[in-house]
Amino acid sequence: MRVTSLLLAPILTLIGLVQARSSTGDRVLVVLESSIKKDDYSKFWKSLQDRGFQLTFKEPKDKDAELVKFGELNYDHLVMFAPGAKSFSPSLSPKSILHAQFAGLNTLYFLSPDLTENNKEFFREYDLEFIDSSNILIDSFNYPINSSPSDVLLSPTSSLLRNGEIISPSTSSGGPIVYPSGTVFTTGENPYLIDILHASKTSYIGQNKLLSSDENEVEKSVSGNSKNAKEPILNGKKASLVSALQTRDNVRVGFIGSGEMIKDIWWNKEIKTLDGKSHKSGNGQFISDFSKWIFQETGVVKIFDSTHHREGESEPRELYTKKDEITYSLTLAKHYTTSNGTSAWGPFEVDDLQLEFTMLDPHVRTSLKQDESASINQGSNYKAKFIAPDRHGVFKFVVEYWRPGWSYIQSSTTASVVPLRHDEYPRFITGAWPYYIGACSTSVTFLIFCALWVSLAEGDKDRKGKKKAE
Amino acid sequence: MSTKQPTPNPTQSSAALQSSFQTLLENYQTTIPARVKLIDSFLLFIFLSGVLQFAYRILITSYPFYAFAGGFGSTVGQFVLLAGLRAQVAPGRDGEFKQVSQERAFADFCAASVILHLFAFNFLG
Repeated sequence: MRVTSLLLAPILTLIGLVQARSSTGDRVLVVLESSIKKDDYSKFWKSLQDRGFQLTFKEPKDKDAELVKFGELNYDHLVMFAPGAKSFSPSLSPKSILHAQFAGLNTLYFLSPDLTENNKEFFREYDLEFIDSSNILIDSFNYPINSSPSDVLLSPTSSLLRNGEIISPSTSSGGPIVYPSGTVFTTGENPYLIDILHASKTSYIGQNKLLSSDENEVEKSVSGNSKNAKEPILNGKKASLVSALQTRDNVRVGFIGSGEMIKDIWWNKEIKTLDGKSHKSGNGQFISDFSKWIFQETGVVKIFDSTHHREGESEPRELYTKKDEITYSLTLAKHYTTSNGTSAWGPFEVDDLQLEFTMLDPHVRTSLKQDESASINQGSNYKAKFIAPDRHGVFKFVVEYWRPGWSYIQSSTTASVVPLRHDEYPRFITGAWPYYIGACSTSVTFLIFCALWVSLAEGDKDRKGKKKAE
Repeated sequence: MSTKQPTPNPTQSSAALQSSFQTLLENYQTTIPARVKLIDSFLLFIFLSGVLQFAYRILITSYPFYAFAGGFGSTVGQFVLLAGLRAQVAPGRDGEFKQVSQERAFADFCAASVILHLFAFNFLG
């Protein structure tokens, strides 16, 4: 046994080298439109493979690209790069993709201005609204020097979401991100959507053609068709370019408005801005960060264990008595990638976790404090102590932690709170002694009274007898 | 009657009051049978006990309310039962309780008292 494990160890480490760092799985299905040349994007595919993913390439009309088979996911992640596809095979239709997402499929959508009406209709499911197909994002002030204004340069400091989990600090302070001929969308009220990248202040939405000095033509171009001239012009923060969505089941979906962002010609290339300075483009880093988050490599938090017990005990109880002192403990762990590329779980440290003890409404809401002394193998342990409410019923220990960038943490455990049993009430309370003495003295006096009564009766009889005799 | 009439000498009236009080006591001692005296002394004791308990509840604590209900309830109940017994055995009862013998009244009283005390101890907790 030991010999085999010794032999296996190096093999396992070798496997570890190519193992996915994703916390959910490493099978990726890439759906590429036929008009898109796979080789133009080789650096992106290479970066995914280096991270341990197994890529399978399919076309939108491939019949054998089944996402879910016998109720099990065939792939863990999906890269959907078919904005212009007019028809899909039934297994890749928007409906079956949504279905697979409910089952846990993480999806990364690469879009383009040629987005078909069907696809736009589908993205309304996520509460995204796209601009007209003829229009793209243009910025006449920020574009690489021998290029067109449609290759918009975005500064990571002003346009990128500041969230250490989704976007690494080196990306937020890195080179400009090229957004070549991409579409623009608005995100609706959906609270599960996170805006990652938005347009700059100087950019606008219009048709990509050289404008003459004719002002009317410029006006027309800027506001699209004259019919839609009254539509509000999307700009700045309202014009989303890259967004993400995380469901309550922690399935992640990413939307990238310009598929050309991942083209080899923009992947970590030196670019010259209009003012003559040379920068390294941030596309590679940005797309890596974003796909890491979408494919569950970063920002993943898991509940390892949650337990509760009464003060002085260690096992969870089904029933707690009113006013019991209850200790609740929760172990959370954050997913990370070790230096040799394997996935591991490490400590997760936050200071704003809360526990609610609820029966319809939270009766107790208290903060969960990190317990350094707890002996656990992985992750961080959080504890809260509280007194059970003076109210009996079925309660739940509820922990909900919902922060952008992190997995949605939710834990709910049921326990009942019952009143004291008939033999658990305190007896011989000091304050009640006068009442005890009162009741006892009445009884004792009653007995004495009875005895005296009986003895007096004889005396009475005697007296009566004497009286009669007299 | 005497308070309404003008009294020239207060010492005289107080002396009259004292003498009438003494007559009352004397009459009580001579005319009331020993058993009724026994009942009266028991009534007085229970009355004092009840007053003390109630004062304690008002002034200090009523925390185990059941204990108070038990203690105070037993005194009140006992008082009522004793008063009933006294009405049945005191002189001059013949008008109302002619059919009830003293023994019968005492037996009723005892049975009711035992039940009352059982209840009271249950309440004490």
